[in-house]
Amino acid sequence: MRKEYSKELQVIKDEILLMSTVTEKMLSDSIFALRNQDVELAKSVIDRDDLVDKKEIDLQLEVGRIIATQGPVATDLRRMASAYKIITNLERIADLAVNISKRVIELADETYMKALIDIPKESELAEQLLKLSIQAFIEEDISGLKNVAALEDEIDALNVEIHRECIEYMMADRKNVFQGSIFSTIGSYLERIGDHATNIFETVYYISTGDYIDFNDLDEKIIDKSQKKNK
Amino acid sequence: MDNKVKFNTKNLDLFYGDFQALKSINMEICENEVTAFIGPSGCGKSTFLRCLNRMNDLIDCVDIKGEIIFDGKDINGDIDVINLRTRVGMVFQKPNPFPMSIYDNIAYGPKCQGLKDKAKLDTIVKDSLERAALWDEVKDRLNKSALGLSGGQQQRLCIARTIAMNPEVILMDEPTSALDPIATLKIEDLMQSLKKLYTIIIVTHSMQQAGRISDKTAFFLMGEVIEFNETPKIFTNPDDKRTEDYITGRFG
Amino acid sequence: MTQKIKDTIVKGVVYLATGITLCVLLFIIGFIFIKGIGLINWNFISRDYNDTTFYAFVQESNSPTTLDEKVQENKSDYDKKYETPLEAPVYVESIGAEITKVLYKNYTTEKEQFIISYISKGSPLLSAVNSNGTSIDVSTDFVLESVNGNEFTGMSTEEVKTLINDQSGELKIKMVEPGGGIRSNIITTLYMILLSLVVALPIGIFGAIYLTEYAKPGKIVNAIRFAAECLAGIPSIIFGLFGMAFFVVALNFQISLLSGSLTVAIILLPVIIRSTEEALKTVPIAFREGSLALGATKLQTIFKIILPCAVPGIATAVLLSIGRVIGESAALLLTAGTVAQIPGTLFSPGSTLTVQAYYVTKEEGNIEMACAIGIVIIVIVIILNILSRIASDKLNVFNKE
Repeated sequence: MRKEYSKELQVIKDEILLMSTVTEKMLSDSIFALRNQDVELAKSVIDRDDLVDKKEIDLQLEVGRIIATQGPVATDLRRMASAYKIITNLERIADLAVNISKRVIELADETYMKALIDIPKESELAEQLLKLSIQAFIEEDISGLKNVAALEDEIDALNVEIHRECIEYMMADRKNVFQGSIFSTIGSYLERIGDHATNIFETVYYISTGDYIDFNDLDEKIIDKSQKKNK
Repeated sequence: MDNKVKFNTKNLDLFYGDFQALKSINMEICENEVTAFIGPSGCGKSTFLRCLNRMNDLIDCVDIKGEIIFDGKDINGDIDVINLRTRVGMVFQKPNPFPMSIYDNIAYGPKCQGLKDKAKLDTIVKDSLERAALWDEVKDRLNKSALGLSGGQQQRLCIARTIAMNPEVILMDEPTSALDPIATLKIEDLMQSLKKLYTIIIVTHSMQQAGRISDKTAFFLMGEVIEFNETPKIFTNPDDKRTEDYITGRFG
Repeated sequence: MTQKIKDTIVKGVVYLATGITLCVLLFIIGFIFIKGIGLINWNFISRDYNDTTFYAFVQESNSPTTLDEKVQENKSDYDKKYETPLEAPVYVESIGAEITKVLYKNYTTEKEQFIISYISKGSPLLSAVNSNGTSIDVSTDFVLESVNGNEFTGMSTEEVKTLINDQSGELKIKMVEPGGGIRSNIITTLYMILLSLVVALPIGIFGAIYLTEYAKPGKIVNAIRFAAECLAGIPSIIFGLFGMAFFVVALNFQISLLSGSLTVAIILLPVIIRSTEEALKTVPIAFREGSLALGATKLQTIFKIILPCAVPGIATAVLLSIGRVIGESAALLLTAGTVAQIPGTLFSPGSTLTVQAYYVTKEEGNIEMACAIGIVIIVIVIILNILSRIASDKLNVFNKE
């Protein structure tokens, strides 16, 4: 039944997967560029943003078209509404990767005040979180709820740690203020990316259950519920 | 899509006595596409559909002006109506299987064309039912009356009956309005698979249906075509205010 | 006056009307049954109306058969009704039968005659043949008139016995098979039904097809319909007069089965056209459209789709027609005659049951027989009704599995 609609839904999922892959690559490339002070790579990340922006518009039109012509209801409707949100979130993540790359260009001629440890770690976690959420969307499986919550907490903690460290360095030596503020900002960018990824997972949760959850006050009950839903 | 134009109407006017039911219709309908006609009741969409295989001949006091070019010939001119109807089949609003066996229903058309070869008829019946996704459901009861089938099955039988004539175009006049949602979806899926082989023109009261299945949509109002465009375009950003009003339900 | 009382009164009137109708109906049927049932038996149905006289050739038995157990109850009610025994029965050995002298008296005649009142087993009468050599089914109630040319008139039973026993060799006995039955009328009625339907059905059906499928609505069609309706309202005696003038005289068909059935066919036409038309009109337009949209021609559509769908309606038309033929008397009286015989050819006359009922009532004042015929007619109508209902169920395309 509804062969045509099922086909179209699959196309949307494939496209979102593609878009998220591009976004992930942009994120990892921007962090790679940061570590190696690779301006060329940073510029290529910035260039790739146009691609993601175009994809966002295309996908939004396509989802709009499907909503207009196929008139989805219930889960189908939630899927389409969520797809809209996911696309926006992915685009925001790509924008943040671009921001990081811009900072990389700003830092091109600097010698780093210390080796980068927490930032790559945070970015890795954010990337993992994004992958998890997109995976959850493709498979419509929210069993990773606990992992997502844990990852988010970890990212938040790392961000706080980065801020604290940057402030320490900046207080120790005024020369570090420029670098310190940028690294601190990058930390915040990554935290934002984590938030967007969590948002994506929240929409998947919405698709599956029709409810919204707030990761800020997540309790056992909701986790239980989600696990039940998956059985 | 750059499909070949199948039907091309030029300044088509149609009168029921003094009442003008169609006003200067100009439309190009392409091959292997699903074209949907939507519009409020009495807007002329069914009338226009019936012009395409001259079913309006059955009604007295109908006067048609203008041209309907089908494969290079004006079908209102001097053509063989029987031949036209074998090439342009029609499925109606209410399932109307003849009160005979399933087999005879399918074989009726070919038999009327003088086909008597039993083996050939058997093949036609099987092929048609398979294409209409009905074969598995009825293969064991081909000699039972078609009236024993469910509404949805009856309608698919009518589609199979039309396919048996191997037409180029299938006209459908609100084919699912008498069916339940499940049967409706089956017919819609069927149309999607048939579109590769035939040109399908469908009149529908359900805008959602037009959206789901058609490639192009024409919006009729008071005997005029207000807008004829790609379906997504009509449903996301129609050019005409009246189309917008109709599809958003703010009509009238 | 309250609404409730008004309602009660109206309701009472409705019930009363129904009651009266039912009573009248029951009274009529009851009258016919009570009057006529006495006559109904196998002889009544299987015998001709008129007496049949013939010669029977009987081989006289050499060893006289003896009287075995007699069953006097063999005699039918009909005969008992009109025959009064004058002398005691006498057994005639040479023909192995008992004869009785009776006084026969009915509405028109009164005479003394000798009848066979009993035939014993092994009687030579059982192997009697006629002049052509075909065997005759001699049974009790047959009247004996002469043997080898010697008339029995005026003799006593004993004298007749002696006369017969005196003969030797082959006996040539003049016998009369008594009439009073209606076999010929039943058969004539069936012929009439068949012939008139054969003529009227095709014409009526094709006429109805023209009116519903071909004719453009307008003055002409309305005129035809009006004519058909008027035709249905004209008293049948008018048709009878026309049939008499046209078929009997002008076409020189004589007063015959043919003239009668053609006249009745004309009477049937409006009935058949009307009901066939109604039947055709009830065939959904969707079937026509469906058929035409498949590239069938109009003729194919009519004969393969519409007519089969209209079969139940046409069956109703046939049923009504049969009723009409059976009930028809005035027109047939003038065109098919009142001769109670099985018509040998299309051009011989014959009277149907109703005509016969009219005839016996009017000419002989024999109400009992008319009522008995009435019973037979009712039975025939019921049987035909059931038959045609079964047939129309079988033919109904909508009933098929």
